[in-house]
Amino acid sequence: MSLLLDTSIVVKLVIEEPDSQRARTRVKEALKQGNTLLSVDEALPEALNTLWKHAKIHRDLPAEEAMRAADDLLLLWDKIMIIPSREIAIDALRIAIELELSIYDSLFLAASRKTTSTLYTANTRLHEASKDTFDSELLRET
Amino acid sequence: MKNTKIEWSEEIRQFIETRINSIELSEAVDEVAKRAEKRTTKIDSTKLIREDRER
Repeated sequence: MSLLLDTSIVVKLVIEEPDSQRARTRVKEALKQGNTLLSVDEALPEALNTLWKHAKIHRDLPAEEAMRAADDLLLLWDKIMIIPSREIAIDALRIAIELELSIYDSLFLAASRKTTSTLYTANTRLHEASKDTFDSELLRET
Repeated sequence: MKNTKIEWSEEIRQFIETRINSIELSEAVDEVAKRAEKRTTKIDSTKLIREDRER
């Protein structure tokens, strides 16, 4: 089995916020069980943009810590398997239309389907929209 | 001593690589967690990501 990390989980691994520790515990448990960790290439710019928002818009993260978080993000990024958006683009668009989700959400669902992995997300909207047809696990339910 | 060539099967090689990668990744998660203690934020990132995806 594989666990596909949504951006919401990836970010929780590099900063301290609600349910960060729970996310880490679940990720480590998956690794211990021999599961592969995956994500979609889209998660990197999304995660960086989230750090930028914390630092520059909401100002709840000092800029130097945002930079260090980005370093740690890359450290983890280089160790997980990344699915290129190109490989799942058509299926993602189909899912976006059928489920009325953004293409950003749908890329993760298409990746989950292609790799027969469980999507692990903290994103309730994504989980609720997809749980009947996709293998999805919501952070707060674990 | 006679030099014996050991042929590892592809499955065993992949299994070992995967396990090593999992252990390294698990250790990296712990290392990052320690450094992340200095990065406590007030706003949940999931909300920020959601804003971007629905724009």
